[in-house]
Order: sequence, then C-alpha cells, then structure tokens
Amino acid sequence: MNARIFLTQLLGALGLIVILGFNVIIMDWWERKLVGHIHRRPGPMHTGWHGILQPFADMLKMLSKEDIVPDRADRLFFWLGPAVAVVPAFMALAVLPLAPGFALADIGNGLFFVFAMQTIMPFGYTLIGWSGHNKWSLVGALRSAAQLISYEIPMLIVALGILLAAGSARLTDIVNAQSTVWYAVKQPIGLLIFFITAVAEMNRSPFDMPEAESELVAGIHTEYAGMKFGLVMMAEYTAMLVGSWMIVLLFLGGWHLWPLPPSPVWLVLKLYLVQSGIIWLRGTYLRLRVDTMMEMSWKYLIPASLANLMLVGVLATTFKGF
Amino acid sequence: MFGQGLLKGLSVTGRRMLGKTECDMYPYRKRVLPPKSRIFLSMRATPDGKALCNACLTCQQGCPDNVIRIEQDPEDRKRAVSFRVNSGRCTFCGICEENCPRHALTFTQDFERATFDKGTLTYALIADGTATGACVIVERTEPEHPASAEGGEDVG
Repeated sequence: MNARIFLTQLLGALGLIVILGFNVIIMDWWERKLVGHIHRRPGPMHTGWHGILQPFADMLKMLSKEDIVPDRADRLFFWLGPAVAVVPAFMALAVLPLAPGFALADIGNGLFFVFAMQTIMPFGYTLIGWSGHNKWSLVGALRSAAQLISYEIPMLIVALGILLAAGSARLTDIVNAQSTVWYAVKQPIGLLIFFITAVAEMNRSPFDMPEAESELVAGIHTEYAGMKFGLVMMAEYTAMLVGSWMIVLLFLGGWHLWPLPPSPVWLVLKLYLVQSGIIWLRGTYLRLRVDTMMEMSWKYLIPASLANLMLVGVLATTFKGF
Repeated sequence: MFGQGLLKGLSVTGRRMLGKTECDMYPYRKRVLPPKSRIFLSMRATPDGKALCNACLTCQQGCPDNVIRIEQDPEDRKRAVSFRVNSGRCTFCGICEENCPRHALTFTQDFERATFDKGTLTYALIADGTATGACVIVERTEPEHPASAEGGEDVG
C-alpha cells in the first residue's frame, strides 16, 4: 500500500477517535443541561462556565475508580463486552461522510455497512448484560436483543425506500440526490418511522428497555464500574451520533441547505439539532412497557414501513426524478 | 387525532426548556427572606462596644427552651458580663425579642451558621462585659419605646 495513503488514513482514524471523545463530552453536558431545563433546573453549574467542565470531572472520577469485576462474572466476556459494543459504532463512523466524499472510506456500500455495524451492537450489549452474572443485567440484555432485532426490520425497510429513490448505496450519492428537496419532504412517513426506529436502536428513552433504571437497577451495566462503565456510556453516545448522522444523511439533506451553498457546517448543525431533539424526547415521554414496545414494532411500524416502501416504489416508477 | 397527546407533551416540555428555571442559586445568589423572619439573635451595641442589655434576665426567664444564659456583673447588677445563646436548642419562637424592655435583642437574617461541631452552636453576644462581633452596632444608646415612636398612646 502507498505509505502516504496509509499515513493519512491512520491520522484520520486517530482524529475520528478524538472527535468522538469530544462528542461524548459535549453531549454528556448538553444532555444534562437540556433535561435540567425541561425539569426547570439549571443543570450542572459549579464546574466551569455553566458546568462545562462537569464531563471532564466525571471522566477523571471514572478513571480513578476501582475496576471491579464481580466474583462469578465471566471475566473474558466482561472485558470484551464494552469493546464489542463500542467498536462497531466507531467503525460505522468511518464511512459516514462529512462533506462530499470526505470520509475515512467513502465506500459504495456505505448504507449497508452502517446497518451491518449497527447489527453487531446488540451482540455487544448482550455480552455486557450476560457476563456480569446478575439477574437485572441479564433481563436487560435479553430485552436489548429483542428490541434491537425487532426495530432493525422497519429501519432497513425504510432505508430500502431511500435506496430505491436515490439509486445508489453510496452515502455521498444519497445526500447529493437531495440537493434541492430533501427526502424528508418526499418520504415523510419514512422519516417518522426511521426516526422512531433510530431512537429505539440507540436504546434511548422512551425505548431504554435495556437500562430501565426504575425496574432493572441500571440494566445491562449494573455490574460495571470505572472506565469500563465509561466505555459503555461512550458506546451509547456514539450509537446516538451514528443514528442521528444517518437521519441527517438519509432524510435531512446532509450538507445541503438549499438555496445556500452546501457546507459541512449545515451537517454538523443538523446533527446536533437531531441529537437535541432526541434528548427532548427523553425529557418528555415515559418509558414504554416491554410488550407495548414490541407490539409497536411488529404490529404498526413494520406494516407501515412496507406500505411506505410500496408507495415510494410506485412514485419512483411513475415520476422520473422522484 | 392520533398522536395529539404526544405533541402536547412535546410542546409543554419545549416551553419549559426555553423558559426560566425555578432554582434558588443559593451559594451564588442569596434568597431574600421575609422581613419578619427570625433566624439568629443579635444584640444592639454602641460603636464603643457597649451593649444595650441591662441584664434584667427577662429573656432568660421567659425562654421556653433555656437557650439564653446571662451572667451579671456582681458589682454592677445592671451590667451583663456574658450573654450566651445556645442556638442548638433555640426554636426561634421570638419571645425573648418581644420581652426585651430595652429592645436590645433583635433577630438577624443571617442563617449560614451550619457547623460540624455541636459545641460551636453556642455563641456569645456579650463576652467579658463587651459586645462581640455578633452584635449590631447602633448609634443611639437609648431606643425610644416603639409605641411612642409610632405616635401611639403611652402605655407606661
């Protein structure tokens, strides 16, 4: 391999990890602030300007804490679980473009690569929950597996609609197909279903079954402490970033904000707006019951996504340039 | 319409999110207490450290919780050598302030006296015959009777 390309890729990967760390820190603070204001509290205020240094303080606390492994835990998988959860999220980010063609690897199958990586994540969550040898984590893990598997189906069917309209699985091409009219306008039902399923895939409230703190103590990461817990948190925030990035790329026009010239600034702006919206949902809605959550996917979202796919197919064959 | 409740919930939390918070930012911003609030006792004293108290013991005898301990000067019984308040027992009822004939005792708005040591809850308003730092300095030594000051009838 060309040494220069290799070096560029390596630096890019390192840069991506740094950006991810910053994203986790910013989102941690922003989530506390937003949820606080929804509760009419100011959120963190003591550390730095409006508590901006609070995530750093938390990070220091996590790093300095004892790394506890329960006696009867499966040590290997206890170590492996957070890594299996966090690595696919990082890998999915490698193909997500920030500007036309500007990604670590702008591959032709980007759309499916992201979904493939998201499919590995429930495996990590199941390992995390199972290896701790705790009934709460195990229940959380099983819920997580059931939830992620059922919500992947409508998500993929909706993504097929996008694929049908764009005619390419390369994420850059999908975004460039929305240079004037976003797919959010052309496929509003698709956006709604994709948003709901994306929130469920991130294990975020109101779909935070794996970490149902009122029922399961802390769900899958009950037994985790210290930086391994930090890694699980990082996996969750990175999953949120990947999910929001996919929403922005597939439906909200990515770097396009017609009639203004395309710019990565719009993408970042939309990205954080979508993430703020997800936090807003968390502050508003109650957690669904397990059976109602499954019912919602299998009884409503899957038929609706199939209907959406059919509608998009008919429109795409009838009108040229849909 | 389906989803109406969901949208209503979002609008409620959205308005909350943009509105003002309802927290007392306590250590940064102090709360304005009601003017009649009774917190810790204080003694009125002249700038040269002479307290208005004439050691009549009305407050000590009237106190339902034995909070106040006054030590009179054996030579001049109208002078207090020490005036100690055990705030750990105080219920802030305000009888001492009401009973004080010279209006020497007053309540302050100071409430930041949390401590890790029970012993430090007792504080002195007069120690060694002079007013301590816990006292309020006033210019006038002989306060007028509140009834006459307000122009009301003289009860005496």
